[in-house]
Amino acid sequence: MRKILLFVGLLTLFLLPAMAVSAQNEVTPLSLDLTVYSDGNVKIVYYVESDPTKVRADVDLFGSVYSTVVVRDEEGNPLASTQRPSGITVDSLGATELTVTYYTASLTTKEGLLWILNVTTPVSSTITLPVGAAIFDLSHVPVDLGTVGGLQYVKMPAGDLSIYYIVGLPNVQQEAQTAIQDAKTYIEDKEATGIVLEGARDQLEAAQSLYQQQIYVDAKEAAVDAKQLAISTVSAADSASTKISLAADAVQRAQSEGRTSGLSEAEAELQSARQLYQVGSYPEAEMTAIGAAQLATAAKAPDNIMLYVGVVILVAAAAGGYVYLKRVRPSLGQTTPQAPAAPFTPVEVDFAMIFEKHEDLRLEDKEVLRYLAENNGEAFASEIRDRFDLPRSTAWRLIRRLIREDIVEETKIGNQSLIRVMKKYHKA
Amino acid sequence: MKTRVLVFTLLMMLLLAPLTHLVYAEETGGEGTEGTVEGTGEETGEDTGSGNIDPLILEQIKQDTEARYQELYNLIFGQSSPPEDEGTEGEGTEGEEDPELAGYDGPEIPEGTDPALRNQFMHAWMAMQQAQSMEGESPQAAAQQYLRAMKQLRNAWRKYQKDNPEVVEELLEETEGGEETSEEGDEVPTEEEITEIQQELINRFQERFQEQLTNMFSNYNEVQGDLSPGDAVKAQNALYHAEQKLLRIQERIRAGEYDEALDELDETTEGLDEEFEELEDPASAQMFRTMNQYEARIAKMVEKMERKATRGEDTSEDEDLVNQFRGNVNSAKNEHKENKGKGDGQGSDNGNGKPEDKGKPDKPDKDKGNK
Repeated sequence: MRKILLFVGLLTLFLLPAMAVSAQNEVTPLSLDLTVYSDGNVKIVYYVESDPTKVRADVDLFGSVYSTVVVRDEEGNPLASTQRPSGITVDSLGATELTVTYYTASLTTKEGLLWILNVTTPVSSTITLPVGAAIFDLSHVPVDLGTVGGLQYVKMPAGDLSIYYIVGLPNVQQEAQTAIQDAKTYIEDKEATGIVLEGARDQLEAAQSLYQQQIYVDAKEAAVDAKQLAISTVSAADSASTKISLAADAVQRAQSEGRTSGLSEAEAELQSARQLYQVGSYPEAEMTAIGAAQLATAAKAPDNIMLYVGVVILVAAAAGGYVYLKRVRPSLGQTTPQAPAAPFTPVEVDFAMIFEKHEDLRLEDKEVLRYLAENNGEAFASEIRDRFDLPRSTAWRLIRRLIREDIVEETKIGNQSLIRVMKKYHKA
Repeated sequence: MKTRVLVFTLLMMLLLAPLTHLVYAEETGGEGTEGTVEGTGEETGEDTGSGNIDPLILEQIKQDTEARYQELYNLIFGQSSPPEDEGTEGEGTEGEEDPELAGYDGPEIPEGTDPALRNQFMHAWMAMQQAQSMEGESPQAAAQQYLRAMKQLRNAWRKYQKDNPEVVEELLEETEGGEETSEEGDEVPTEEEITEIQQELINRFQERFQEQLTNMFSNYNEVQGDLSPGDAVKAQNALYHAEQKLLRIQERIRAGEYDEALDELDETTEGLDEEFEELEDPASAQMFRTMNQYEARIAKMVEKMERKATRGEDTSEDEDLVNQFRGNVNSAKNEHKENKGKGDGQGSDNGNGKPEDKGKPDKPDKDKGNK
């Protein structure tokens, strides 16, 4: 027993000073900040107090593999350091405070989407988690936690700590809500332009119903489908609208080119396409519009035989007119039509009676009456104008005056006015 | 029996010895350092002693737990067909009826759900309910309950991702390309920069060390009469050896042998400490170590003040600090003298080789990494 006592005593004597010496180069932890990135790397900023009487300081680091180790003193001077098994030895050269910054990937592990950060700290530490991280478990009740700059942080007490978190855990309720709102906005916008989105709206209602039932995953899918359906319907509507426009152009072109044969069918098809578009049957409207365009393109001018028939009718009508005029005026064929004469009976106008009854007749009136008397008591208005070189309006007023005085009468023959002296002024 | 007790005591000393530096660390933390750590927010600390927790923290934990429950519930049960029993083992909760869940009145878990998953959700819900009921009386216990709920949810997620690898695969694809590690903004000094600054720092250190030794000689002269003859010689020798070594170091620096100078500076400072340790009277040893510490700090502060004065900056605060350090050196000497007078021989050794907390200058106001 005494041998054991002696051995232990000697061991104590040897080891205690050694431990005391090794402790002398230790530093005092002040604070520890860990910033975790989404790839599992951790940036560590470790603040420690060091002994100003010492030239070197041993700093234990966290993790097993370190990279980009930078040590600075309290004035920001970069200090040289060398690695040792559990950390680094810094040439502190009397620094009172050291800031050690480095990266390590050895503090995190991953199971599927679940990340785990494990670290043993000598001082309370602040852990900043990656963007979109959701904490799933903590080894201790934290000293503090919250969000800064969109990043969640946890301040944990000193000791062994574990933080479980997931980056990008979907919030399906929010996603469903967003998808529904997105689809709704799109559908309403397009409906405002007159596009019928009945199918998409039905699908949207289904999504809303699923959301109400808290079946968020399906609700989101239904909302996405609703928008997709709306997009494809809008695309079909646009396509149908384009085809209807093309068909309308084809019909108009056929009309302007006189290709009227078969055009009525094209117009009917075009009308049908427009009706289908109005009720939201866009694929059918498109097909019908394509048919209308084809019919309009195929429309032809009327056949030549019809043209000949038309010409014959016109010739016959002209001949009839000629015969008629020939019967009314023997002088037909002259450039100016002559007053009809047949059956020819010489007429002698009784000027004395006219001048007696109408003393206030103007000279030009009397001249015209003499002209009529020379022409067997009658003449076309155009002949009178030509004879006296009168403007059309002046001749018209003159003739109106004589008609009003009841001296002459007017008879329409075709497009001509035949002016004739009233029979009461004919000599017997 | 006595022998056994002695062996046990020695073994305990061996076992506890490594912890001495932790004690040292706790007691000296933060003294005299300058604040460089930026605060990031209001400190909302936990009073672990009384078992209380800041209500804001509890609220945050509660919100996080409830959010996780809802997110996971929606993800797993937000489909027309719930996840069926895939035959995988649940963690801690198997398919059989759990008597603890008899009073469950939470959200409906769809029929046909894997029993393990069902139990985990139900346990999580009940833990949340219990936590809620504890919030008023025992916030700390409530927080623990919320964490218990989170643990259930974590296990539920593990099971879900194990049973639905395709969903996890899909989500992994979606989350790819997140915020990768970026070392932008980190100023990484080059080897040349470090070497250049190291040489400057070696120069500054040896100058300070020389000043420190001069002051220590002066201190020695003042306390010499209070030391035992043996300790007086040992202390003088310690300072003398250090001074001699420093002269050689200065020669090396002049010769541009900085690496060697650095090693010898390290040996010299360590040697000085060790020689102080060897004084017969622990109180005297402690006094010298304390004075040495403060003299090092004084030399550093004086150097800093000189630089600030060159830049035309105010040094009044630094001067106050130096005066406080000097006061502490005098206190150490006086305390030693008084104890000697009383003849207790124990001095003011606080057993950690560092200056006492008593009479320490106030720490500069700083926020050490709070968020």
